Amino acid sequence: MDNENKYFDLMTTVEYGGCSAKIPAAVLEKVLLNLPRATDSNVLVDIDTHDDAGVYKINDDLALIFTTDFFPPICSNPFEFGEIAAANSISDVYAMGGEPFMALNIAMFPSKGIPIEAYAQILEGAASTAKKANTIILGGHTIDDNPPKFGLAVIGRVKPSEVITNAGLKPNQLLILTKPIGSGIITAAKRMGLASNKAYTETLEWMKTLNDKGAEVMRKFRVTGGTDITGFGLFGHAHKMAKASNVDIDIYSARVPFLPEAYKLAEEGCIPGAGFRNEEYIGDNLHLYSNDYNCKMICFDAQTSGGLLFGIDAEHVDSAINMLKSFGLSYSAVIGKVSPNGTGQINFY
Amino acid sequence: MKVIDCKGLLCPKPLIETRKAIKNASAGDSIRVELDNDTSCKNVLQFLKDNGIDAKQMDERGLLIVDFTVPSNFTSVTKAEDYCEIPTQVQANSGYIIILDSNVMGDGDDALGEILMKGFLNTIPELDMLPSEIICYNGGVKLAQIGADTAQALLKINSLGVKISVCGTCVDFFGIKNMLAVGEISNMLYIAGKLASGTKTVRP
Repeated sequence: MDNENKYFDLMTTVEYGGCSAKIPAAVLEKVLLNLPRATDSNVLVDIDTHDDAGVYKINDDLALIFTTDFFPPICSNPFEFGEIAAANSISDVYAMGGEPFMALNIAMFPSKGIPIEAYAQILEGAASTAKKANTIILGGHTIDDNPPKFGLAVIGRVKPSEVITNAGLKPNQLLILTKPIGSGIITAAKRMGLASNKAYTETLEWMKTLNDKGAEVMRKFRVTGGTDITGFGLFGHAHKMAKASNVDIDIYSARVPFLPEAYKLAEEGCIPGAGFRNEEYIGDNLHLYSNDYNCKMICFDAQTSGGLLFGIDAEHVDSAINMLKSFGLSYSAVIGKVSPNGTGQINFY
Repeated sequence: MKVIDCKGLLCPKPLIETRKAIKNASAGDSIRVELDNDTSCKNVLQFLKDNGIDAKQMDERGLLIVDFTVPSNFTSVTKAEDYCEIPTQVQANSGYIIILDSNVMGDGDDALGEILMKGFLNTIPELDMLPSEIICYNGGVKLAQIGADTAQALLKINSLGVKISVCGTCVDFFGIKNMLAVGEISNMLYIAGKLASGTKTVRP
């Protein structure tokens, strides 16, 4: 982090940030309900299964994964915001088992009122993360608007037979989560001076961390069902996967990795509104066996650039966890199990 | 009535203030939260509802007002205390440790033993005196494995403030280190220390 350099504080421009800025899932579902569906047989994945990206088959060996994501600032430093926004956008390609290779910047930035250097720093941050992901940024598009918003449209490649989707969970698999959750809570708390610098810095580091290594592990163990945890929270995304895969999912509260201070902050009532929207969205599909309210609300917390959640056969669990940890994904853990069948229900023990 | 002024505060600050007010209140206290942000108001109402508190919402000259009474049966909405201190229920009854050294209860028939063990663990929350800790070793660690019915029972016991310790060598031996639904992995030094501590141990 370049603390020595002065930068424009992006957090002064926004009331809500990150994926909390998303339209609530329940509202979005209604909007998308009557949209015409693609009829091209080369479309392997579209909005039907609520996946992270669209997938289009070019030939038997190659399909393109196409995705976009952008949002208002979630941190003060423009360079870091660029890094996080890029990691978040690229993540959708990794979540579907692909390798990103090119991208476009999508930006809104006011031509007056904020030093334009801040925009340059956002783009530099994004470029540095894209480079780590072996992704070339070919250009982009900027609209004069305030507050700033930034993200990428990303294209990745994948073998059509190896696409990882929400619908690919198999009965009795175990579920691995590769990053700790609670980033929405920590970033909200930071703005009110409630989170320590240490917890905040760690949260930023996790948000900047690419999901490339997690994707490598998914590919190695031929994972078929997976997603990344973003705006709909752990429960929201788990529910989407369970529903698309026609299974139920058990999640064990004692095993879900939290960011430092997230629990204490939830206890203090620092629960951003997005968590309540996600709770509303899931409704009756969540069955609570644990009475820990704070744990529940952290699992509803909207994440920015969260980790991967995927199903894996029991015999590969130890190798997968060891591999993830050796890559520095130190919080990686089995957090639950896929039921033999079901209707998208989440059982929280 | 205590009035919490949340006018002009951004989400989730009003919720934090409400939470603080509840924490500092006694049963039967009336609390009024004044807000001017619709989203924050909705979140506060949902938080109260989630925690079984009836609230009344009114609009008054552009102000959103939420009134509620802290219920008499209101313990704590959450259990953060479990993470930093031993809850009183356990503290008062910390007279014994349960040892689970097998996945079955008793000798004779293992299928029957499994049923008995499940029944035993499901019954523990009903006991007048909870154990201070449950230590699992050998086949006992399998009881804490994800997917086992008994793991859910152990989680429930754990949520009542009972520590669950699981033998590290044993979970490695059975290859279930990454598949535990509940329990802290511990070593022989810890387990031997507990067994030798003079605390009463109970084996089902």
